[in-house]
Amino acid sequence: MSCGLDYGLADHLLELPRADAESFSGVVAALRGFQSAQVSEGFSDRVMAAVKASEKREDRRIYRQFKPVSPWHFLKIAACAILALSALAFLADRWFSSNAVAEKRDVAWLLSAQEPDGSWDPAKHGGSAAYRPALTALSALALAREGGTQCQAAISRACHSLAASQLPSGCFGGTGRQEQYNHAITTFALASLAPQFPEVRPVVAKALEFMRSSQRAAGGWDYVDNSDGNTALTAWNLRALACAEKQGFSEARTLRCRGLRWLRNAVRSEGRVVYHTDSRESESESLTALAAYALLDAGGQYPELERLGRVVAGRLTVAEDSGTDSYRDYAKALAFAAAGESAQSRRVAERLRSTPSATDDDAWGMVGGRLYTSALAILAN
Amino acid sequence: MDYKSADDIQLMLTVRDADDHQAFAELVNRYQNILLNYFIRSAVEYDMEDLAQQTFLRLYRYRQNYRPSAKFTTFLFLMARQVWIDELRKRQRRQKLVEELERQTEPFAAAPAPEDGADAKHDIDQALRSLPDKLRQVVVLGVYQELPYAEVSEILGIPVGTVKSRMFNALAKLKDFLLKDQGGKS
Repeated sequence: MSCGLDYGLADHLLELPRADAESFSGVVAALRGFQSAQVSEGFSDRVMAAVKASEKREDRRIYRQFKPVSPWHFLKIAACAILALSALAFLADRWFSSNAVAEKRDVAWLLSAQEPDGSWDPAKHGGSAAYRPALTALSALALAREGGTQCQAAISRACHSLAASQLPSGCFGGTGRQEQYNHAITTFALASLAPQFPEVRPVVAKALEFMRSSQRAAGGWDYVDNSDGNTALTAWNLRALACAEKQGFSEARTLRCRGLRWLRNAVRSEGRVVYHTDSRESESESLTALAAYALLDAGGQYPELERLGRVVAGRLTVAEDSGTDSYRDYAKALAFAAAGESAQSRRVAERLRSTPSATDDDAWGMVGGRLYTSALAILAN
Repeated sequence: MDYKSADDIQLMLTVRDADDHQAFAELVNRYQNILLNYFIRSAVEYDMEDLAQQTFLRLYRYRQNYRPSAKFTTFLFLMARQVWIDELRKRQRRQKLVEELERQTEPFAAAPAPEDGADAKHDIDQALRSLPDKLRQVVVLGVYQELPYAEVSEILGIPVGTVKSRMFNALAKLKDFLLKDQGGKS
């Protein structure tokens, strides 16, 4: 029998023997009997934003063909060289640091350093005032590890302080890089603390709105224009979203899926992780560890990502002589633990705990000062 | 132009000829849920929204290739199919990489088993997933999207007769799967 242009399933079923047609009609009815899924809120806006972004990229590509070499490019290289030399100086200093810091002393110090309004001020301890929300969040999380009534009261004050600092947009203050890191870290901390302090749930919900609005069309997060995301910031946001999802914030799921997809594309062959998906920048251990943890953390739901996370984590080493970097070691301890390498996780955490609480020799000391090193040393364990 | 009342072909031609974002946004609104469900039923386990987004981006990128002689849905599902094929290739490459790198390591934990008391929706999902992709695609386009067989044939690049035989085989397998599943639970 010939088939016209409109010939479809209904016509096909009519041609079949009656028994087949009836049983197949039942199957078709069962298939069609379930409600279709709906895209999440704001989907069409995201698509249109991506369309506009793709047009801009196309324009830039044309422009680049005629663009002269910029002196700015050379300045950037010089700045990188200076940073690299500074990092080398930090690495050298590390060999001379031998003060061991006990966890309890860190906790006692954190309690004593809390401000009357419940926050912690990094500027008073060698860090930058711009990261006050993030350092308050990390300090509160560190105290939550310790427990005890004194710590609980301090955490409660910290939660109130963070809630009070939330802006109408949902973010916690700062601009550019500071705003984004403050936001991801604070959201992660508040989502983690939500079971003990349910009053923070509306704050987390609002924070997720900001996270949604700042997610790039491709799924990542970044603080610079014309980027589809950077791995470090995206990994922190994913951590916050994973935690929020576990605490029942269903809106976190879609954001997380999109972020994981972006992160997966930042993993190159043999598990190498890049900072931007369109770059060949060499990996850093912090980046590798943050990405590995985010992928492994998603493994319960997506086994493929867990496998990829293990490959990425396989690139990490304990590396006893690689300089003082609380941020890197904290991320490595997490990644090793998530990969089931508890012995390696312990070794990295012990090394972190044994570094001096003074932060002159920590690669990221200028960000959070002693608050940073103390909180991360506790959280890595 | 009244975007709401314009048909798909008029909108797509406006996008093609004038890069009209409003016309494109109207197409996105019309087809966003259809594409999402296409990917869900094609056994995409996650990233369904991203694949839908990629399809729209590809549609926009290749807008100059659109010819009104083809139905808009044919053009759209051709894009969606290509996006899914590309995604499958990427996943296979990653899977291969992972397997090569970890051949010597302990086996990974299996995917979590479906929860007890899975509902009928889960049964249908499982039944669809049990089909080979070539059969599943015929079901997704012919049953769910209710496309004429000629259009299914064009999208999948197979003769209409093959669409018919695949549809017959797919429905027979789905029937067996669902009957067996019901038998197993009773």
